[in-house]
Amino acid sequence: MKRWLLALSLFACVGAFGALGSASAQDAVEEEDPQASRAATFRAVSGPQAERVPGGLLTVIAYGGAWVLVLGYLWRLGRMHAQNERELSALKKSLESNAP
Amino acid sequence: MALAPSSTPSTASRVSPLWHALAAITITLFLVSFYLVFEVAPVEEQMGLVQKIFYLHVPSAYGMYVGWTLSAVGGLLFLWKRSDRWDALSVAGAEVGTLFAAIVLLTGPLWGRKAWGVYWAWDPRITSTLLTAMIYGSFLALRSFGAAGQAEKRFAAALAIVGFPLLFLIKYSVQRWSGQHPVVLTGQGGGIHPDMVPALICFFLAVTGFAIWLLWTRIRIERHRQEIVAIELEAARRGLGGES
Repeated sequence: MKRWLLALSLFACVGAFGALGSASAQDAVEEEDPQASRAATFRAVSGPQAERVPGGLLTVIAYGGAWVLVLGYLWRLGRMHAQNERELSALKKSLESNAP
Repeated sequence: MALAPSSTPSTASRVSPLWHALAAITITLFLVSFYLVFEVAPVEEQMGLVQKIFYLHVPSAYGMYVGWTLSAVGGLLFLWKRSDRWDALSVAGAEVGTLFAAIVLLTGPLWGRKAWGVYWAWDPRITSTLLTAMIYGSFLALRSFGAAGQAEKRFAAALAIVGFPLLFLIKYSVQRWSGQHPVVLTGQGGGIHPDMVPALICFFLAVTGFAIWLLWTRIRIERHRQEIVAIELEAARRGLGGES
């Protein structure tokens, strides 16, 4: 009987120390650096928190899109200038051929 | 009207050295601006990288105001003086203003996606900007129908004048009806970090140079176009077969 009691007490002590160790380890995880925590664990979230908007990509699209618009307008100006030159050349030819 | 070669646009097509100098200064200012925006200016605490859209968005809005204001001034003076010179200013202003408005309406929603979670909000300032862009868009649609006659020019000038009061609506809508649009640079806002100021000022200067250069170029092209049309009409009137 004494042996059983001794074994039971030993088991309870090991269990208690184990639980205490686990709890203190969890506290340590909660207190550690969030960046390190992100690197070590994956946690599921739902709702609005689930979405992360990539700011860098949006910035690249904004600046890239703006330059596309600017270059498109410059190309249009170039075309208008070329059309003027063509019409002027045709006009000169026409006037020269009709000159008295 | 004389049809001598000296009166044709070919002589006017010589480009001023100042035009080249302005182009070079503008390109340099843009390069410096990009360096200041992406290397010197700090990343904003709340918004992160997407806040850097601000340096492009705000000066573009200023370019939009400048372009559309000049369009309205040109339209008003055209209706008063009936000179094609003012019509050219009105067309150039409308195009340049609409180009900058397109940049504003592109970059704003991209910023809003991060800040508000949606690309578009029917905020007073955003809505009034879209409405004004539609008016000046109508101006450009009207003028894109080919060689404009006097009636089209007058109607377009009236559109430019009608659009002008809406610029004040864009400016003061935030104060009058609040809304979600940021007011960082106005008296209501908290201002920007001192290290962000040089990038913003440099971008403003770059956009100013670019707007002037674009207006100059567009006015020049429009004036040439007007001169060609005038010579063609005169040649046709004299029966020289100038219509091409």
